[in-house]
Amino acid sequence: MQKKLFCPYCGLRLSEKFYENRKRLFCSHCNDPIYENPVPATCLVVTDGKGRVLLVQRSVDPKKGLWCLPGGFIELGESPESAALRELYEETGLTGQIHKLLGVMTNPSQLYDSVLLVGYWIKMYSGNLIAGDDACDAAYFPRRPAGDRL
Amino acid sequence: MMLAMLRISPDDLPEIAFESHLKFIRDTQQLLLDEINFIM
Repeated sequence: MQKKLFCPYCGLRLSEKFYENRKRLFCSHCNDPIYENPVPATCLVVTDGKGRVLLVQRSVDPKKGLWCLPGGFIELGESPESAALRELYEETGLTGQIHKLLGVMTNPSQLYDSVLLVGYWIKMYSGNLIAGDDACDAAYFPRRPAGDRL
Repeated sequence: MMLAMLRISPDDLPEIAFESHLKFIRDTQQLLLDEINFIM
């Protein structure tokens, strides 16, 4: 991720300062630190009745061409649940119901430095599977990698 | 797009772009096993 150079409030150049127990970007003009936070996103494990999981193939970087869970960033005014279901529809054409919260974790990101990822499990859904938005393909796969016993 | 609708389930899980996504898939696998054990 590109480092911030200028204060988003006054536009003057930022410096680094040890503040509140860690090194932070700091604006000497505003006399305030620039707090940097993880970007919130969601992903969905959609399972079908045949023991398979729904994956989408990424059409954009990072990791273009690889497969991942449907999901994406939470937009302003959205709940994590509604963002997850919106992304599911955009990337797969499916309308789903959240069955369970799987967990929340932070992950390093090439583009955003850190992503706060909220994972949901979906068992009930409807619609025709059609890849869209950031996905160029969508398909159901066995849940287990080859040779994985779990 | 039609390929996705007609695709036959592959034999193996492909390489997953993000380790966190793979963890959620594994967590779900365990939850499914727990649900089956609870029912039985």
